[in-house]
Amino acid sequence: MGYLRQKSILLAATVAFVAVMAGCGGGNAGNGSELKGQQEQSSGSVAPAKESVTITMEVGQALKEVAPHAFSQANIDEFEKQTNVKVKVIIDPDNQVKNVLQTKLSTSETPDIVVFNKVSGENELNTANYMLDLSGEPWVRRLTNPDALKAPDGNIYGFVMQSPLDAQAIVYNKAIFQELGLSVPTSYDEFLAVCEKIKQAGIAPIFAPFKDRWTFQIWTAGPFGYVATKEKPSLWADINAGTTKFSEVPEFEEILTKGLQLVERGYISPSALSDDYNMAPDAFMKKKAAMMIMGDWFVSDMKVKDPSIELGLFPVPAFNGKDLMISQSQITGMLHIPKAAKYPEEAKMFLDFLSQKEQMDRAQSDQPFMPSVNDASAPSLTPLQQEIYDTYIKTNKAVVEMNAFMKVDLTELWKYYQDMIAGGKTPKQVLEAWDEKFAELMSAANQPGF
Amino acid sequence: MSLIRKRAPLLLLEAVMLLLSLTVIVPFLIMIFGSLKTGLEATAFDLTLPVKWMWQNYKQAIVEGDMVRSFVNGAVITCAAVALNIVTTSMAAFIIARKNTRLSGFLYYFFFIGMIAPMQLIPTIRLFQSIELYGTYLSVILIYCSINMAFSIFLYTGFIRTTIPQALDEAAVLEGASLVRLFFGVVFPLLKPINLTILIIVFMNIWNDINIPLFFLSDPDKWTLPLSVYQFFGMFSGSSWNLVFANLVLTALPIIVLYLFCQRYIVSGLTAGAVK
Amino acid sequence: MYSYRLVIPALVMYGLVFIYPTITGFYYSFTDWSPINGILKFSGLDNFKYIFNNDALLLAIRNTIVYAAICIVLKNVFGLLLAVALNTAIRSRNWLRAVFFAPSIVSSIVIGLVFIPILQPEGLLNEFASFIGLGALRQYWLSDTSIVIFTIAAVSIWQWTGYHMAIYLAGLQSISNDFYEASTIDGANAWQRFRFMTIPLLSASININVMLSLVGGLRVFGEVYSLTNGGPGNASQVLSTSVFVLFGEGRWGLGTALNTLLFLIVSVAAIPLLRKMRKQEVEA
Repeated sequence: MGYLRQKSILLAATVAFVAVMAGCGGGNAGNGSELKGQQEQSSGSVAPAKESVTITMEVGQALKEVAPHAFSQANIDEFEKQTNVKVKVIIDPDNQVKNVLQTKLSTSETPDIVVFNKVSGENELNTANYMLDLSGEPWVRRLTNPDALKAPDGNIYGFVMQSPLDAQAIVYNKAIFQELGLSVPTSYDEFLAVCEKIKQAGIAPIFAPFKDRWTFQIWTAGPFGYVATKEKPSLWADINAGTTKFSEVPEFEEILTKGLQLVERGYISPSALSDDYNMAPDAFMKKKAAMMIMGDWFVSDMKVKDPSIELGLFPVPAFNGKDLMISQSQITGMLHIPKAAKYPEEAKMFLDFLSQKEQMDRAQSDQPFMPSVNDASAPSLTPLQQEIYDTYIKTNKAVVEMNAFMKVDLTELWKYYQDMIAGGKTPKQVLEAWDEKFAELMSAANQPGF
Repeated sequence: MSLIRKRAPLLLLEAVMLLLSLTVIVPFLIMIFGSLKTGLEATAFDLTLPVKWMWQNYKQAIVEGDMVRSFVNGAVITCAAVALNIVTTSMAAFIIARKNTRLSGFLYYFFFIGMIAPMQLIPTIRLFQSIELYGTYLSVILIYCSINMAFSIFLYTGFIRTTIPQALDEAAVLEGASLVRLFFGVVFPLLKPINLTILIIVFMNIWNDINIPLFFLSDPDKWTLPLSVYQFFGMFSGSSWNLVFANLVLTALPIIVLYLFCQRYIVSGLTAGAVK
Repeated sequence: MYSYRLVIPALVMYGLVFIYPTITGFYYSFTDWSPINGILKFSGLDNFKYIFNNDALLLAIRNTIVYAAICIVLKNVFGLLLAVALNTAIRSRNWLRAVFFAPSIVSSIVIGLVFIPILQPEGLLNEFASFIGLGALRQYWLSDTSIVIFTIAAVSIWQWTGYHMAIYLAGLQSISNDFYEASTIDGANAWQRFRFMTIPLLSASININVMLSLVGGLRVFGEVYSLTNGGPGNASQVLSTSVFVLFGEGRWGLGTALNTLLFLIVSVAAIPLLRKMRKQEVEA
């Protein structure tokens, strides 16, 4: 009885707290008038329309899967109920989303919210030019790590619900490792030995979907990041200033060469350039392959497809005698508001609404994530997420991938990696060709120093 | 004896052709079987019969892909654009075919540019913004109609020149028919084979297109059928290939029906327009 | 009695919706147009100079021409052979005509989804080759950089041969039997009849088929995009896919210039053919 009473007091306190939060945060208030006050306070002009307004939120199909939290239907329904503003999601095919958004931004026919990865947006959508500066929004001061959201110019152009909790690493089948008596390798030499044993057991050591261009770079992500974080802290800045070239970094060539060796030694099938990501589940389910250079998302995918397979992760072992680190991606799925949006105030309301504790917590039920604001509940992470957090993030064994520091699109580099695997370029030639292309792209992007 | 000698090569030919047709049928079967498998089974992309025939995939694809609405959108846009295309280009081609002047020669080449010049997206968007039609069904109908004009005029001109005798026009005019009456009353009905040919080819071009709605219809509720397939790529972590296949089969279905309906005209229509 | 009034609706619509944006678009070929540059700078022929000094783009031009040449020849040869075969009295000809025509009505998404698995190293094609004892012919169809463009051409031939067949079939049916009877009496054999009677009488269908396969081949996008997206590396990049890549990189001026170049290449190839066709039509 006492317990129940305690619980109901707690509940009442929570409700009160939420009401207060709503009052000062704005956005999720129970009625329109408070909202209106909030809006007038912050912008001084446009009040939300009295009749029903529909804001649009545009995203590529894959990104919506990778960063699903902002699309939680329960949150969208609640927003519509509270504000009478409807939210319509536009999903573009992946191969078109960049062109569609660029075109729409440059012709001012934009949606009200553009969902795009942070750095990619800066490089490909010219965020600073086309998007509203949201640095003054109420949720900014509640961010756990506001610096992570800042663009190179120091402004914040978008909101994101989740802090990174991903890991680019080697995924392996625990059962196969057990059967063959293998342990997780901690150096390149150990890794080669593990591959050799698996190969001799008649299983392909590594399934590599190199037909998808973005896949080989995962081999480089952690090791490159290690070099740039631990050994040459000014590396990315120097490269972006044009004072260091990719081909002048011997570690890069070494890392590429080691990756290529996996193909040359037959640990990666020569057919890898024909294989794509969609074929991976089949290869793992039929135990045709033991490992893949991929990331946590593949482990989650497989959990859905075949829960009986137990997969684990370890960092890309491209070095001997150095710390091995997982790599984390740039901020994914950032919500930007274009300057040309039809309903910018309603879009801001929506972002603020999502940043509130209830919405943060509600979105957890679809797929747990690390909240980006400091007043949301701590998530109950999946065992895999917990492992990533405990083993790598808490212990500082995670680096941010190179892509997050680049000011140009890297697709061309990835094509050179494919060339290298096909035997058309040596690692050195890859880096030299990329230096040339990089300079071209940097100069097309009006970057100083090029 | 001579009958057998005559029939034997034909039977052999028939056997060879049937065998050859397998190269066409097999890929189609992969798609159709795939649409009736479970999601897991369909990831193999192979030529095996479904373990269990999942007819409900089709229902799921229709409901989750909101295919009814996009079917209606596609039908409205495609039919309007095709109708507008056929009426305007057949009229234009009639004159271009009949007149033998410099101007008609110029017009023939001028319209042909549409077959070889790439469409300029951003200038086209700006155009529709300036006449305040951007984002409307009408803008998309006008675009589809225009970008397919070259092909239609190309075929119509050839057809009219080679198969519709000019004496016919003269007779009609002698009877007091106006030019418009002459064209719609006398010439247009004679164009039936080529009309149906152009109908199916232009219909197919528009029906299968995904680019124009993506760039010109900012409201996804106005999108057409082929775009609905993207709902199933990557949905629920990883793609639902069985639903992707079901969606693709359903998207192709209207064209297959239309094609079967027009088949005999297609052959004779293309002949007459181009050939002879 | 024929008035240009009837041309006006088509002309106005086409002029406004297609020609006007196309002409303004071509202007951008000579600028540094991009989403970043608010103000356009006239850059003269810089874009074109860049194209002719860039290995990847030169490869794309080469691939486009190789691809188009293969497609023109083989789509027409196979299309004509199919048409001749299905113009005989074989019983299943109506069914076969429909079957061979069918691939041309599906979209390129279907082509990608169905053919990528078939062309895998362990895919249906290689397995079939081994099965009939031709295991030596197994290839990495889509990942071997030296053959990938030919593989894509082959798939395109698979898709479009039936379409060209339909046009040839129509042409064949319009040839009167009298011609053949006369030549049989003259003692011509089957090949001679085909070579000296059928081919000349089909010249109009050959023209249109060559025109359609020429324009389609040089402007190819869907087949390449859905099968390899230009890869591996840039090995199967063609002109239209390169334009798409450049636009994605935000180099819109350069992309437009490459589009203009593509337009010129197609024009140079197509206009003489068009002129020949028009002359024949007027004479007919």
